[in-house]
Order: sequence, then structure tokens, then C-alpha cells
Amino acid sequence: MTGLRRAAFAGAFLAAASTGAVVADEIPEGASVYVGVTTNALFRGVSQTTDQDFYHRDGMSAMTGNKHSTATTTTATDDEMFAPALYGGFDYLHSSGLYASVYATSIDIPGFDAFARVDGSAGYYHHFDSGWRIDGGAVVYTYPGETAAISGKCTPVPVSGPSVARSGTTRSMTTPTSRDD
Amino acid sequence: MGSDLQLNLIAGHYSLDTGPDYEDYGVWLSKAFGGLTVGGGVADTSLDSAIAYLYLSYRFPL
Repeated sequence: MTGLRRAAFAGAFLAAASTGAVVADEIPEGASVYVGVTTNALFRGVSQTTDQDFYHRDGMSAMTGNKHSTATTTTATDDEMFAPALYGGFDYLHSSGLYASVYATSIDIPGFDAFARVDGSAGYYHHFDSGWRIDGGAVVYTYPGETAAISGKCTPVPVSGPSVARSGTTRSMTTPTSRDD
Repeated sequence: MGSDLQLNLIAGHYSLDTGPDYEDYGVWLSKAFGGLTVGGGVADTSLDSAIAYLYLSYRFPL
């Protein structure tokens, strides 16, 4: 039972670290892989398959950590509930509590080149007899296909609020994708 | 315990050096049928509107 509870918690941790919710299933000790589909690719509560305001208010850098800046013009509908994504991953949970994981999901952020987000995580988990649990680890988020950060085409621009013109349910917007901190 | 049914709650605050600070609240329910898991929930942040979602995944050991 302890092993099952440990596996379940580790699974929940890895899921929370990577996706916030989407793959919160139990994982067994040892190696396993999974695939799935979701109606919306959420990351820290924010969709990465819809045109949420988040990505235009302060730019893509808010999620990607990209400190380069580009001016991006997008025209997209407001937040969509149905914006499906495919995802999958690999987990390894050792009986000692050490774990490692790789997670990948498709994304579709208007004005953003990356087509996927790939996360890697590793850490240690321990379940005390009292019921308390401790977990520590590190997660790395990557955006393969994002050329803005590596092609040198980024140009620093001053921080300013987005310019928004609304017409019905469609929005046109120009905003810097990040600020130069 | 052992029902393979999970109710999950999450609340977080994100302080980003390259973006706005915000709060994230979420609740989701999942049910496992062997390697198959189905679930759904709602995520909301202080930045934007709430989003409801469903998911389906299949896990298999190597």
C-alpha cells in the first residue's frame, strides 16, 4: 500500500510540476510511458493552445522566460474552451524515492514559433509513516522550435502596454513579446 | 483509498521576473481504469477567464 501511495503522490507531483493538472494519474515504480489528449493545454493555469490575454499583456516571455523581444501582431479569437492538445511522457520512479521524468505537449500560441513544450524533471520523494510527505526536485521547461530566442532576430523594445482594437469577438493586437529586464 | 478516484486541488502564486504576478486556482477529478485515466476540471487565474477541460490518457509500464 505504501508503494502505491508513494507512486500516486509522485505521479501527482510530476503532473503538477509539468502541467498543473492534465496527467495526474498514478505511476508505478519503475519505468513507464503514457500518451494522452486534452481539450486544453494548461500550464500554470494558463492555456497554451488558446489566445489568452496573458501572452499579449506582457509578452510570451512571461511563460517562456525568453528575455528577447519581438513585436508580434496577432489576430485571434478570444479565449477558446476547446483547444485540444496531444501529450505524452516518460517517468521513472525508483523504490528509493528518486524519480525522473520527461513530458511533452503540443502547444499553439499565436505569434509564437514553438510547436511544443518539453519538460524534464528530477527529484526525490519520501513518504513518512505519519502520513506527511516531502518532495524536492527541479524542472526544466523547453520550447523546441522557438526561433526567436536562438536566431538573433530579437530586438529589444521598450516596455509598453498592448494596443488593443476590438471588433466583435476578434481582436487585433500589437505588443512586444517580452521586455528586456 | 484504492478507489482510483482522485479529487485534486491546487492553489498557487507565481512571481515571474519576466511577466506579471498572478494566482492560479484549480480543481480536477480523475478516475483510473487500469492504465486508462479520464479526468476533467476547471482552472482559473487572476489573469484571465476560467477554463474547463477534459483529458484522457493511457499509461503502460516498460
